[in-house]
Amino acid sequence: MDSEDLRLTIGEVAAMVGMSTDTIRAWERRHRVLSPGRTAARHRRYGMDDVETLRRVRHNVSARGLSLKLAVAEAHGLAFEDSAARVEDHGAVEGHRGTDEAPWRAVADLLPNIICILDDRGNIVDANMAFARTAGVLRLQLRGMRFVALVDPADRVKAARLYRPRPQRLRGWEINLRTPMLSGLFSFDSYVVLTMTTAFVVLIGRDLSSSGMELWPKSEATGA
Amino acid sequence: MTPATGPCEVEFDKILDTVPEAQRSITRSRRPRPPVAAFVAALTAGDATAAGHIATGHLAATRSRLAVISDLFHPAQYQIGELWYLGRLGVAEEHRATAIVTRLALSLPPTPVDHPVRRGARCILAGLGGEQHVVGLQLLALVLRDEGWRVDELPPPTTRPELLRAVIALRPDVVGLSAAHLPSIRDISATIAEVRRLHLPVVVGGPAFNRTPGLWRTVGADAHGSDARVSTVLLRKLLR
Repeated sequence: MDSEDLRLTIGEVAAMVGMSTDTIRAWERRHRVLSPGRTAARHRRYGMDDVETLRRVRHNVSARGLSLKLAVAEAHGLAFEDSAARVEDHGAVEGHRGTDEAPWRAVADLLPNIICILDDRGNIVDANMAFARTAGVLRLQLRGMRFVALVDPADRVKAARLYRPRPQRLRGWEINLRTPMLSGLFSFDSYVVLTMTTAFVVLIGRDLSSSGMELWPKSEATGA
Repeated sequence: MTPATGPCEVEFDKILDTVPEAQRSITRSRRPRPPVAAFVAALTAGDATAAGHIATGHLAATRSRLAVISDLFHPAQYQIGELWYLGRLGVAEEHRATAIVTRLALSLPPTPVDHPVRRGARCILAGLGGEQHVVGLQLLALVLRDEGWRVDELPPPTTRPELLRAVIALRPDVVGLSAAHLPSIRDISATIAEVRRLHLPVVVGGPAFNRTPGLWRTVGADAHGSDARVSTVLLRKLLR
């Protein structure tokens, strides 16, 4: 028998992941953690992939203290885990805090894309230099500012969808920014980063207002 | 803070006897949350006594060696490994933590399951490709014995001829092989093929297979036991 062919009962899955069958059913019903196949008699049958998903969710909840929603999102690949933040948050490593984020900050500052990190209430936690330049605000002053304060009033509800009701992964989310320096349309990709205590949304945006230039024939754009 | 020297002096049997039966059934039904963070803190501090008390408390609450190994020791070892990868923990601290966990695990009293496997069920456990890291196999052997298996652990490093000789001589029902890293996929595949030629199922496990999803299939194994809980259920299914 090959474990590809193994079809597991809910009792076997429960034994494999150390949970009760009632909890597995509840997680399926409320959080759509799994969608098992069914026999002709409507009994659930699971595969090894389902076991791995459940183990990951359980690990996220019990060992890392994530909420079940975040744990499920992470297990389904809808959110990324920030292992450095997770370990730094861990009480066991007091005194082991690293300073290795500085090089990444420098790299983020080199990029032309605007990058901004929001907490789960939509406050700006950090941003790269391109974002600060776009906003026309010193980076230090950006921290703690509401992200929607930089958004055109007509797009504020749409902008809030990035973190409300929960941080979420969105692609090509177009928002008009209105800042002291400029007013323009930006396309954002959002990524959810989990820590022990909260979730952050990382926004990576590009300016659609100026990207039209790239569509022009090269000879015209360069004047060659 | 107590340095991790000297024998572990946790007397699990005595502590288990002090937990009233009524309380045991309550704690069993509530499935107590394993105190992984506190356990990792004790391990990183090298505090074997504190780690022992935490392990004892979880054993008293669950009355299951499998629960302690799978829900406390395994995630703690994983986090210790993460800290090492991040450079937040030195090699010496990591080895000290592993030594504490191994010592605690080997001192856990047996907790036989209510429905063991059929009488005479036998398996061989061995490291693959000269594997020296067999702590995981040792812990798996403990929980398999609780399940009623007769377990033969081959001492590391196990060569292919030694493994095949043992398989022919002991006639197990299942063979479990573990690897932390695989220097040669071809060698492992050949070993597994020879065992399977004897009509025996092979379950693989260990970090090498946990790191690379699907590798177990590439090397021709029957199943992948990603941890002790999964392995015990898979071995039962393969026994049928």
